[in-house]
Amino acid sequence: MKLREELEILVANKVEFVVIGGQAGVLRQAIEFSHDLDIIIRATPANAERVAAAVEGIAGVHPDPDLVLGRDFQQYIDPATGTEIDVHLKLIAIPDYETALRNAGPIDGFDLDVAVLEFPALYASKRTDRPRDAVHRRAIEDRLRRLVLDSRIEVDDIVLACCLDPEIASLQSVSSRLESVAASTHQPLLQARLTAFDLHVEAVRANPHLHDAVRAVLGLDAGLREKLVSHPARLAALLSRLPLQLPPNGYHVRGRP
Amino acid sequence: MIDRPQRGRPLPERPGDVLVRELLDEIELDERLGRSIGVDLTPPGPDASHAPVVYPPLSVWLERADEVSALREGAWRAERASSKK
Repeated sequence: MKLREELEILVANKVEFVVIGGQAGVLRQAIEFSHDLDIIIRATPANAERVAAAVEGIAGVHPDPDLVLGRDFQQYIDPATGTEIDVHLKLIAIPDYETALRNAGPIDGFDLDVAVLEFPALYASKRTDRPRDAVHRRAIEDRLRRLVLDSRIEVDDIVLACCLDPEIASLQSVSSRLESVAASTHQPLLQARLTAFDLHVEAVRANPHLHDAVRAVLGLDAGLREKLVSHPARLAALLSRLPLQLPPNGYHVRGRP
Repeated sequence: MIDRPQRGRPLPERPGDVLVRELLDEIELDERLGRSIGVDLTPPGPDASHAPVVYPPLSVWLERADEVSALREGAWRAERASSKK
């Protein structure tokens, strides 16, 4: 079944949901393919009834609505086609539907009105031990990086936390305020990227919100620090262990006019 | 519903100094093993050059994803048909 058809079934059944996981990355043009559709749902009995009906339309099985509300994660697969829908009540960094909704938005140019997790929340939710999630994180970094380089989105601490590298740092709009960002950002990922790329390290060191892991990296002698952050795979391993902090009221990537 | 669904688990939280020590230990282990067998065990690194140079329009992007989805569904059906024989 096509992604669009699955979403149409959810919409037709008036399910309250947010698209998360790999298909959110597909809809946001970062990830090229996902084998399943993951959604996070509002945890109410009425919505569980609607979810059950939609799952039947997508995967050919009708779950008990009580079960829908009883497990944080459920996986339904149509035995005839392999079409899979995963239903979540929460996920990493996203404790409930309401949080997901605060960090989601529609897709520009997509005519179905569905809420899709935005890049930062998607990135935060993929901080797992699964290799596929590491690949997806990298795809999100690459997509955000391209959007920044093409001046299509506003750049702030959260965007930089996901994709700062020397090329982004050299953009005039970024370089002019990077030292002040280094001295004040609360984002551990951004502190780590600045440290890894040797950008305003003294300002990072003096940052009152310095994350303890970044402090530990800065405390290493130059040789050990080099080992930890100079190779892309080693740096990715470090970054995967640091949180992306989302504002309590949610976060939306802002497009540039 | 699948009884034992597969999903990623959260990475363990560690105090900063413990985390850094753990990551360095992994690197040192790779280096030691690599030296002993004469092979560089440093994992291949992601690189910005691996990303698409151009992201096509959304319609094209979704069309490609659907094509992969259709191939996967075809493989699923074929596998089921052969397992029934």
